[in-house]
Amino acid sequence: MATILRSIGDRSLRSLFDVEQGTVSREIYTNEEIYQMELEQIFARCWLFLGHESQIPKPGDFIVTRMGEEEVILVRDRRDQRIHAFLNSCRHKGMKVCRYDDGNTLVFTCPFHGWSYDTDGRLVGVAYYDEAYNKALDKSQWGLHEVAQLCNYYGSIWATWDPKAPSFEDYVGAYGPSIRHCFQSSDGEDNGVEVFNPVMKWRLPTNWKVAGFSFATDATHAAMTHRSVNAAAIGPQGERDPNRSPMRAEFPSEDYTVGDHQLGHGGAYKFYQQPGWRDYVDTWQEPGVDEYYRKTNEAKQKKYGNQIIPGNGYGGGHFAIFPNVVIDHWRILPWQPHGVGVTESWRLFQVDRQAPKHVKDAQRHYVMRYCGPAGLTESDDMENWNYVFPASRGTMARRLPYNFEMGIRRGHADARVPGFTLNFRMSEEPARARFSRWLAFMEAKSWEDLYPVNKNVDHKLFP
Amino acid sequence: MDQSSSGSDLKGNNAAIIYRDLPVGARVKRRDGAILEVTGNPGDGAWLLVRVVEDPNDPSRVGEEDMVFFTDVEAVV
Repeated sequence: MATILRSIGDRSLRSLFDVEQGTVSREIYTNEEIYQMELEQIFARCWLFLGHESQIPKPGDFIVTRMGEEEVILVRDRRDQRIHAFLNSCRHKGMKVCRYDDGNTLVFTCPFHGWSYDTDGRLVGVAYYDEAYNKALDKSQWGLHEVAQLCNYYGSIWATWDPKAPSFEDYVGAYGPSIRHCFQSSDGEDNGVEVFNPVMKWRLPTNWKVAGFSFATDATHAAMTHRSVNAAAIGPQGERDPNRSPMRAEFPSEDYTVGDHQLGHGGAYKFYQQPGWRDYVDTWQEPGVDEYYRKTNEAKQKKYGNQIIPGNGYGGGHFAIFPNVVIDHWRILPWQPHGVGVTESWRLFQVDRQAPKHVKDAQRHYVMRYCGPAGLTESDDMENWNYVFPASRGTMARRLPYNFEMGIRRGHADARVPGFTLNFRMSEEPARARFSRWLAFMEAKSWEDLYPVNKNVDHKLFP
Repeated sequence: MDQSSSGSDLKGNNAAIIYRDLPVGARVKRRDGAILEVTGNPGDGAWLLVRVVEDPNDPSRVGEEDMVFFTDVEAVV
């Protein structure tokens, strides 16, 4: 059992939770040793979101993304166009072989001693190979370090360093169809989106779990935190007009918050109760945008005329895939750890790949108004996220637990989504599920101790 | 004194720029006498992707694809 926390005496990680009360020690967010363990126990073993295939459409295209604190090059091979993910670290002396956020290349050449790697990761160039190495260096053993498993899931790219991790589909469980649906275009076609480039990236002075464990949970924050922006009406319509219809037509559904305590995922979940899809409601100020979306909506209604849309798909609210990414049908939000008190926050925004320029422009302007470091809604959120950390890490403050009891003991199972615990539409069930999985990873020696590789374990921590 | 280089001279001050900008199809002479055709230039000023056109030391290598580091290149031909 891991012991930690010299500041308050050695305690097991498990003892940092009061499962009956639903409380969580602040040490989990503020303790440097725990943070270092997370990088090893969680980020080196979980499936992590790397990017979207539309970011690297052509042979030789690459982006630099992250897995935990470490930079990873996501690249489309210039020959066979397969997508690879490599640690951005020269095998010779560790220098970054790529110092750009994105681009197109034939090779990645280390600026230190000139070792050069092809886009499939092979070491293909070693300076002074004949004379200094006497042709003896076995280049085949010194290629870039590649992820153990990579999955292109309807255009979204995921990877893990752990060869023993389960398949991506088993890892995401019942949220798989929701992820698939969030990468459909508005007409209902699979893998029908691209993401805007460049990706928004900025750093917050807070622990990665502050937003990462609550963003897809925290339904009760909106009324207070976003009161002003809601009053100003930040929707695409730009201003509140009492004579306009709501942005979405009514469509029969059931709304819950859910948590998968075995897998750690959770957030909003909407069951659609009948086949088909809702009518389109004109929303946009920009000319020609409603016309486009009205047409794609009709196509989607046709496609789903006889089938029920996957739960929590398009327009269903956001959900978190453990450990650090939140997804909904128009944005992807990775929370990258960058130190116990620093989070690098990324925003990727989906838009129909086939949409005309004026539609993409309108969508881009909207998401910039809403999200990111200058977005009105996330400016609200950042005030909370940024001050939570310094207000929680002091000598006295860190002795007080956080309260996660909202909805405790009110959850129930549902056969439609195996593994999920369903709760009232405002609850902290999703956060509690993430803590269940967090502790399981922190205590596990390997995937042999973790669901679903081991089907006999029960990770559920809270009643 | 003007120490700049020009044209095919890969020994002067401009050598790195000339090397960085060599187009696909250009030919260079390796120090061992082999003639190489540029098939790709990553633009890093250090490496060229090449195909062996002539190799007096090992004719069996003609047609092979390789990479060549700038210190191994004698001249543009």
